Amino acid sequence: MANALRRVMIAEVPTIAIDLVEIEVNSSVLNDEFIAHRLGLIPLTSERAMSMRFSRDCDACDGDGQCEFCSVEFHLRAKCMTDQTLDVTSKDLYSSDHTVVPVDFTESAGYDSPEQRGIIIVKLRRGQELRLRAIARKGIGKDHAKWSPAATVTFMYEPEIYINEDMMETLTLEEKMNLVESSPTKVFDIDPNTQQGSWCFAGVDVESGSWLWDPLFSSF
Amino acid sequence: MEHGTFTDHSSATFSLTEEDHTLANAVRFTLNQDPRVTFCGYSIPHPSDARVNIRVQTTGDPAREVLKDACQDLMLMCRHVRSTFDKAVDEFKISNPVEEMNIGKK
Repeated sequence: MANALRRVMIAEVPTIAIDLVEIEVNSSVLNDEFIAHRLGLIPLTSERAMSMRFSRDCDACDGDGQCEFCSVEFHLRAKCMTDQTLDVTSKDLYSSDHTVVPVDFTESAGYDSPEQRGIIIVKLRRGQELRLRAIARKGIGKDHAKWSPAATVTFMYEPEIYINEDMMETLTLEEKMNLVESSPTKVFDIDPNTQQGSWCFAGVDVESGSWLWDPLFSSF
Repeated sequence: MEHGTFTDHSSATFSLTEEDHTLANAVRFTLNQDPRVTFCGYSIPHPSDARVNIRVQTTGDPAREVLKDACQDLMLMCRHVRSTFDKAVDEFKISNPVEEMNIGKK
């Protein structure tokens, strides 16, 4: 069941991503489909995804899937005028709907780091220009990885360990010390004053799910 | 249903389209918890086809009823997970008032 949740999180949670790109002018070093591919991978804020319809199910638009119920329009205009390289980033994408915008990764700390300027789409030299119109639609990760909201999803089973108190009473101190030493990672600890044992979860190797038991205590 | 099982309703193979391990494994798990089930398993005939075959054999009850009950149990489990999760998130928000993440603001 946990794995089903993990699979759904990766592949079947709907998000919004750019799906159609109409390029008017592109004199950059990257070709059209390259830029379109990069635009598709830009993460967009998708709170509206649940209320949007899939383009194929939308009956409001006349079949081309570009109405306000099933899509969001973006445009980008950039031309490099100076001798300095112009970075065209995700911050240059202007949305027709202010709730669906490229995700802003800037740190609130405010120190000068390259990520502050958004995801770089392409770099332009003097005289190069990029002008395009993009349509973003709702989709799921199963169709294309650009619609997957998760980077990675993992889960782990926590073992339940019960220490049999009655049996612990019958052990001598030496036997308890043997138990403490028998695990390869330091799981058990023994308080020398009260001769009470305790165990710490952090030492359990959950990947292999087992450790070598001292055969004397195999009944645990 | 396989040939020969039209009279015996306690065993059946159900073929679900547009499904994969996500649903099939979860349903197989809940089927196993049901005491009326003697055998249950699922297989995917071909990975390119979105199709899953679930086999159920029971101790007399009609297999489709047992499968339906297993699906209902799975729905209940999911509902419980959902409400526990929502409660935990609300409690966290109350005890840790954090500023809104500025992911959309320029």
